[in-house]
Amino acid sequence: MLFNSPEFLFCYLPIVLLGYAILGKFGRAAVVSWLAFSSLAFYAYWRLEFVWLLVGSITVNYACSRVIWHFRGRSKSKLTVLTLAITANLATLAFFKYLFPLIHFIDDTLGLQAQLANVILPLGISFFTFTQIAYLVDLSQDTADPQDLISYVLFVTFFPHLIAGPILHHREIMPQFAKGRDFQLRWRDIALGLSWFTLGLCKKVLLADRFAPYADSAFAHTAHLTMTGAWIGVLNYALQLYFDFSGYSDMAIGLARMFSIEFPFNFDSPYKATSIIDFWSRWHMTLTRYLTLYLYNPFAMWANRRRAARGKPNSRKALRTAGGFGSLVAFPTITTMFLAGIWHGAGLQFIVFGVLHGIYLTVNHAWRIFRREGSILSRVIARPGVCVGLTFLAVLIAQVFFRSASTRNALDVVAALIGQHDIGFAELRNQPPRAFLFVLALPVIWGFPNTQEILRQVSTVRPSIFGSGRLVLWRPNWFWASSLGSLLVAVLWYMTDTSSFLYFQF
Amino acid sequence: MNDGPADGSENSRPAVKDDSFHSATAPLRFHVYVFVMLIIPALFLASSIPIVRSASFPWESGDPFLLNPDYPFSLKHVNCDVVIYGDSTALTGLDPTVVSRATGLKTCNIAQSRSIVEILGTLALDTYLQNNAPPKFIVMQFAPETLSRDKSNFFWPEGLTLLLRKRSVIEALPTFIRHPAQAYDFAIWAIKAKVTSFIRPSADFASTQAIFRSRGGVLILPKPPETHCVNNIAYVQPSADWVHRLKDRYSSDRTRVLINVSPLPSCSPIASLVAEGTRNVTDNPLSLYPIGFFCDLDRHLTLEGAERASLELAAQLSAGTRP
Repeated sequence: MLFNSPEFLFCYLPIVLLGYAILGKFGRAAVVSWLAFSSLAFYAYWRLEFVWLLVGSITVNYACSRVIWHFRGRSKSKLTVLTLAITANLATLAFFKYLFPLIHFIDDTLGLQAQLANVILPLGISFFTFTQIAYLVDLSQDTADPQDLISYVLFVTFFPHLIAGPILHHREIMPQFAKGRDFQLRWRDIALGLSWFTLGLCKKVLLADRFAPYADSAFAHTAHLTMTGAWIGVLNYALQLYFDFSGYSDMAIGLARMFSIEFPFNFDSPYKATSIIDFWSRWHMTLTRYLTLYLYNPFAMWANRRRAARGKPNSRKALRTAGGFGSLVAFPTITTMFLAGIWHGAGLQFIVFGVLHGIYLTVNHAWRIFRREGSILSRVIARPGVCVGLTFLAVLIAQVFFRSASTRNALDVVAALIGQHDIGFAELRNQPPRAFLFVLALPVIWGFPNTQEILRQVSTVRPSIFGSGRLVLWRPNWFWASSLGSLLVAVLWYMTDTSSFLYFQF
Repeated sequence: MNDGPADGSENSRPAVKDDSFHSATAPLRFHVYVFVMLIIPALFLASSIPIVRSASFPWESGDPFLLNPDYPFSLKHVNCDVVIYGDSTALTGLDPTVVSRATGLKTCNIAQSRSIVEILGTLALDTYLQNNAPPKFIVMQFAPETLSRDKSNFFWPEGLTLLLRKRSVIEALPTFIRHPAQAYDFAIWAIKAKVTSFIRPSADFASTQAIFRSRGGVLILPKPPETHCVNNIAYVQPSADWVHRLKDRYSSDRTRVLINVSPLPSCSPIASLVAEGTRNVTDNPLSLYPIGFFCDLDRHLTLEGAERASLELAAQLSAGTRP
């Protein structure tokens, strides 16, 4: 079920809220059970048979969590169970996500033309798998607490985050379902959540889906793209992806807030980033946190220990040497982003996307460490327009690989972007005016506060090219209620031809 | 040492809420805020009800199948010998004047589009039978997909329109609640049609309407003949039980009921399956026509196609009236 579908908006959500309001009077167990049941029903609406996969995954992981807790203090036994659990999770993920694409790739490469079966990728499998792996890892390291079954089921399945994140950490969610809190609908949270959800819905329906046709058109005919057509396509895709995924995240955060559950932010104006390091601290923030905690940190720690074992220093000074930088920064960064690329999909283009960002991040770190303060280049790059522009350009190039059906297609687009094909000025006249909507959207992205700033969920609103941004800050008054209500009307108008979310494929 | 692949300086910005705005403005109570925010889209969707019920909507909708929604209900004491009923294939494919001329039997066509049949059932036929003497023949013609009773992925604008025009909102409500996606699509469709009618004039259905009136209820769409098959609806087995129940319900000593399958173009990919599947279910064998006899979705006939289908029906009726 899509958040932007009539079934969800007019049936599912009102029923779940009503059930929450009624069962809230009967205490925590009733509410948590209701939400867990509703979330499984939400998943079942897509395909009933895959509920069994989700239930199986939860059962196995919960059982492992109990065994790990049972073995607390016995690190070897814990590690064995944890290894088995992670292996089982990754094997399931590999089966559904990578095995068949890999077989097809081999078949295509070798020209075997075998009649191969295919498998449907269960929705949200990456998200619920990684959420559970993180919990097991933390439990084995004694940084998480054991949970009762129904709380665990709700933690994994809570419908706002089940399909495409944000990737929740048990430490920020479990306490919110814990005993002692009041499980009643709060009008304040409903007002805020509804506003948040509406802004996300607008991003998806009114913006992302408007950019999609021009991005799709460009990436469908990569071999014949002109330079102008390539730039139109790539810029439209950059905006489609941002509004689609950040819109989805806003909807998820807003939905959770209606139940007085606070989700972490997932986007923080990523296209305003002044460097690639800054970009990844603003784009899919919960994934970045996950990668940092469960991939980068272990890799970095391993590299540290390895150097220490060889008698080499791990100091700040050591970072300024080629060997130190390579093993302490470049190695964990590129390896992490390589795996992040694989996570995004089975295809060489996703690996290139990941490695490209790994290289970007490494260069960025190198720049921070090795640059000469006060040099002309430093001063030029430090200018806001230059650093934001350079970062955006680098992100655009990587997104070409992210969007393309194959690496060859991506290289075609990149070649077109740099003018290897026809310049194609005629396209400026032939394209419909809507194809150039990005010209209006980009200044809005760079100049306006983001959703959490508009909704006053951060302590400070960063100044923008439009001033302090105070004028567009939310207040629960007539103006905002009627404005957001009118935006909902616009959403309803366009929602009949709305597509699925891009991140559902991951 | 850095903390991660993306240890940006902005990363640790605290998510501290700013509650000061409550005192800075005159806030609404939160439940009033939610009410105002939701009532606007609710009223927007509800506006489709008076729109659909307005006298001008059938013309404004731009939907030719809504041009004469009240026709079957307006026939009183016309006492036709042959009553043609069914879905849009009967409405667009069987010409009463041709049948009358060939058989000498007074013929009326009260067929409606499939969506009306799905939503309101046989209301039009029942109303006709209440207001007129029993006919000698009731001929029901349906497209293969209507015979299958498979309603998945089916949009029902005409049916829901007539539901709101013939029933009270309270009576119509259960249908809308059971099918929320259809109800939403319908409301937006109706509102868009109304808005569009303000911006540009409705499609010109004058010739269609003239044919309808002069020929006693056949609706010829103002479209050119098709040149190739376009309909790729998958074949689904017809529901023999439904067909037999329908026949039993309307058969009597004075009335014979024929249930027919509509013709298909010879290029239809499901033609052979339909021919096989309807063999012992319908009263006629499947007829295959050249694609040029169709003007819409491989189902709706041109005037020429309708004449041929009507003559086939006339022959079937003549065979049925022989002693």
